[in-house]
Amino acid sequence: MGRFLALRLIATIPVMGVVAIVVFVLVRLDRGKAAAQLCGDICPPERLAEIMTRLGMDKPLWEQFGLWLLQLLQGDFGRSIQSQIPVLKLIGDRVEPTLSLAATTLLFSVLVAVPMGVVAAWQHGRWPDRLIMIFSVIGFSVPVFVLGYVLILAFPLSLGWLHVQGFQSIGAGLGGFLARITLPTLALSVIYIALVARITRTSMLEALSQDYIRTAYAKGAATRTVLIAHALRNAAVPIVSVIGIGLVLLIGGVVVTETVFNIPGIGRLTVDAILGSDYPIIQGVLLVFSVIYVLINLVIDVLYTLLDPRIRY
Amino acid sequence: MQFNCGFTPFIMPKRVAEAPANKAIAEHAPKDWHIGSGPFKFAIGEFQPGTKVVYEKNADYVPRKEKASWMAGGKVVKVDRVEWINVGDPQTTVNALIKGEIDYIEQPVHDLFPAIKKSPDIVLHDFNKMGLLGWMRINWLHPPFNNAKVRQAVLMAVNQEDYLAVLVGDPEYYKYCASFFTCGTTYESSAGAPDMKKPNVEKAKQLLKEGGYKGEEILILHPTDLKAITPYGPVTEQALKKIGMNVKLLAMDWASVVARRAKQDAPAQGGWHIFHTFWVGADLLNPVTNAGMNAKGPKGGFFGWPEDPDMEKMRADFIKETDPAKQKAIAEAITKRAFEQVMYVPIGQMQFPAAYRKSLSGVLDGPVPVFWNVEKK
Repeated sequence: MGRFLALRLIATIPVMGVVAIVVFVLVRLDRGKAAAQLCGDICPPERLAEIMTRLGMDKPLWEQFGLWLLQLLQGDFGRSIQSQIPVLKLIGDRVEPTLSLAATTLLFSVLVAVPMGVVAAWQHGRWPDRLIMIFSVIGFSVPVFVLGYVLILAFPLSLGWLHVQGFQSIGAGLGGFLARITLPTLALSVIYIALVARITRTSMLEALSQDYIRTAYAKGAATRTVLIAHALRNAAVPIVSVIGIGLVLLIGGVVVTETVFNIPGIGRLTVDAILGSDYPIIQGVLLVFSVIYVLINLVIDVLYTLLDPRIRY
Repeated sequence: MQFNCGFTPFIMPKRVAEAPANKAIAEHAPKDWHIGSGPFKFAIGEFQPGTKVVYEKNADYVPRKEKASWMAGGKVVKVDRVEWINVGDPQTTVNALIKGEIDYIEQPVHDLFPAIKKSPDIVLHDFNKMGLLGWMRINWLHPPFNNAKVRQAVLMAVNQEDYLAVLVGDPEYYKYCASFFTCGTTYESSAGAPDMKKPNVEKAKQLLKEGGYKGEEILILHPTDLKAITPYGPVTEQALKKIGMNVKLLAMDWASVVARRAKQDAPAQGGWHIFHTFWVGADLLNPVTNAGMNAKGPKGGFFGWPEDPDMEKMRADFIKETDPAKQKAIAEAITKRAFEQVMYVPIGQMQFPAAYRKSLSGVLDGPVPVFWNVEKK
């Protein structure tokens, strides 16, 4: 396992290298935008050129890339063009809201979706199965922002419950944290629940058709034991895979959810940076997200071996 | 004072003003560096770029005795702090105001006024009676708009009502204003203006012919992410097509518009023909502060770069003149010249009231929101 982990970590280096090149080139396609924004409303061409020089945008692309890479290797992600604050600090300041939202969504979704999938498979073809599948289809179809507005209308505006917007750190009080994170979590969870519930159902149906399930019933095992201890354990690998892949969906959804619920997280930071052409932030966020994806995949691979001892690397 | 930064002369120490634009001014960090010599102080420790700015009452500030009036008079602060929160989504902002999570919105979008008006706890306050004025700016540097007759054709094609209705909707919050200087103020004038409520398509076509328009493709920069400008592009496209112009809308984000409008290249080589913007009424009070009247050409002035020595001479005369009546006459002559040369196409005046909860009192008028005199129950 140790060798496997070491190899996988080494393998991330070329992946991150490719990501770095793609991110750098994509962001530089519009290299004049940031300078134009800094230049303001009265912007003679010579002043624009001067700002581009100051920002190093007049240098050849390869030279800019080399300088950026050198900075990265020293752990320096650069500074925001607009605020002049180090990118890593900006990302660090915004990590907590995004991680909180991702964690509550993941936790809530898994707690709801896996039992739903198990029940749907157990009650295959009956009304609970149909109901859960209808929910899944709706969950996939409704955009996060629509659901967000509906939840705001239903709870804070009509019933006076929970908050419309904002974020409070869990350290500042659990009540305030939950009052603000509940609605975004619900909005973001629906698509995730739909995805995980469907995969759980499919995977469980496959497991429930196996001989060892019949044997377990024949030995007099209780339904709950058969479903959880025998079927779910064997159906877990694809479920874990989809939970990991679903995190990609989740991070995409975070951008929209953070905007609708005014959560000052990395999603909002990214949107604002794109609108403001603040390319050091865009580069930094994309790199951090790429590292997260690589690490998630690594964790999933490790989990496979724990869930199914037959899997060896 | 080292530099004249736009129309507002900002005062700062020489060493700070001379700092390169790409370097952070580190001097705000020391505790003894006093940020804010006015009624509020910027709370640097609580600053979260893109999220929140906090201003605290400046205990050392001594207000004047007079009543506050716009940016003048006695600025008496009656709250301990003002938190300025950046909420990205307009609907969320209004929902938060209705729920009582925030107290004040600087500029709610007009589409949400019905929801705001339904709430008994919220007031709509038109704090800036001069409003905002929309512009269609034309690039003078390249054909066909290097010909005044083609620019005049565009002026003839415009119906201000179309722009105002699509952007604002409710006539209570917009008005027809065929003037380069803010309507309702001293130098308002329609000298030389066509009827901008009724386009003259035939006359416009005639002008295009006289101007030698040969069907060149007209490129309009069309920002799709700026609620206050996005609707303008399709209206102009429609108007110009009606007079027989070959028009193309280039959809992009506002940051791209800002970058591209600075380019003086030919439109086909990355330049442009037309873009839209708007200005605060207080910026357009006279021929000096109105950036659209700057006629210094490619080496100075606002994007579009009109060059007209006669206009520049009249602006200089206006600056030198001390007699208000004569100044007014010069402003009128400038207006006439501006419509003749089509410095830009004015597309109406709009009001953008603020919305606040009734728990606030003493909210004052101003060119921008001001928070002195405001009390919160």
